Amino acid sequence: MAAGPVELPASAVAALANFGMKVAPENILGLYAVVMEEARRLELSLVNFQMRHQVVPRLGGDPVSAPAAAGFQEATSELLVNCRRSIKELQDVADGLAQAARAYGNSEAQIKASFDPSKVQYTPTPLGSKA
Amino acid sequence: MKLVAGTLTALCTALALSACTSPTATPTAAPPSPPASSAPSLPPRPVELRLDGIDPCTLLTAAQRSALGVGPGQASPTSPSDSTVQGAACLWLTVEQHPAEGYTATAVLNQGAEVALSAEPLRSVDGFAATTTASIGSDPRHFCGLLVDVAPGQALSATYSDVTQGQAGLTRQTACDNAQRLAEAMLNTLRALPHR
Repeated sequence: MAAGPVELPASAVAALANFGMKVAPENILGLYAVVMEEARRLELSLVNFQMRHQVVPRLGGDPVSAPAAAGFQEATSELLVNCRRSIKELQDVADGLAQAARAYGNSEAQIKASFDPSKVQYTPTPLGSKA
Repeated sequence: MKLVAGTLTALCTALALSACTSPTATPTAAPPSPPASSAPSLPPRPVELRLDGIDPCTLLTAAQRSALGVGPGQASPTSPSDSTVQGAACLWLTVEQHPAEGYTATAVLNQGAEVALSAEPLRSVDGFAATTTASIGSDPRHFCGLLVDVAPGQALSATYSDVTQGQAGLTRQTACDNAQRLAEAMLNTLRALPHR
């Protein structure tokens, strides 16, 4: 495995530094798997929320059918926007880690084998709980 | 209503490596209600398929999952009290695509497909009428749900989501076509089950 200097995207470096993580040939695939797993879990959370909060579509594309829901919609939309952004950021970090793993000499098969999406276990947040 | 904010706050804080923040506004409005009952009725069903006791995760075979490009399903058995769709559900994400596309199925036991009769045209899924839904806070071009009229007071829900809304050319029509592919596959499985 060639362990030359590897340049990660700034967002990936910042995200990993926040958690005191340093990228090295020894841990690159493990980090990649952790980030991908978190992205997956968040995607499942978002899809679960969408599924549980279906509404009747209205003409004009407004997905909420009751005027009283305006405040609800605004706050919810803001949360969803933040979470979509988080998924994209995680994916960017994962892409950067995959790129670094290649530079360290890992094959595509090794990178793919390090993360098995079917192993991700998602548990919906219980009623009224706070993380 | 606290639940929605709580759910999403939990959803965000569960994220280990991001800076996902909650808004300060506290939503106070109630979730939207179904439309008044003056809407037209649904056409007759080809056959009645009751969903009692059905685990939606079993409604996609491995071959059907492969055709949709999704991995094994994740059960979502609990329904928050403010959910507009109640019942056992299953979530699937695409395997090769990142960010993913998501599909869900719910055995809806608390309301029929007529609850979503709207300006959007009815769809026909393997001879069953289906109404379409959107989702709170999501762009209808990137999310579509179908409520398939399988039995009185029950519906088979199939949804499609472009999770991060990153697909620029996606249309409402295509999103609903994707949800319909899931619904067709599940109905195929459901109809093959012993008579219910």
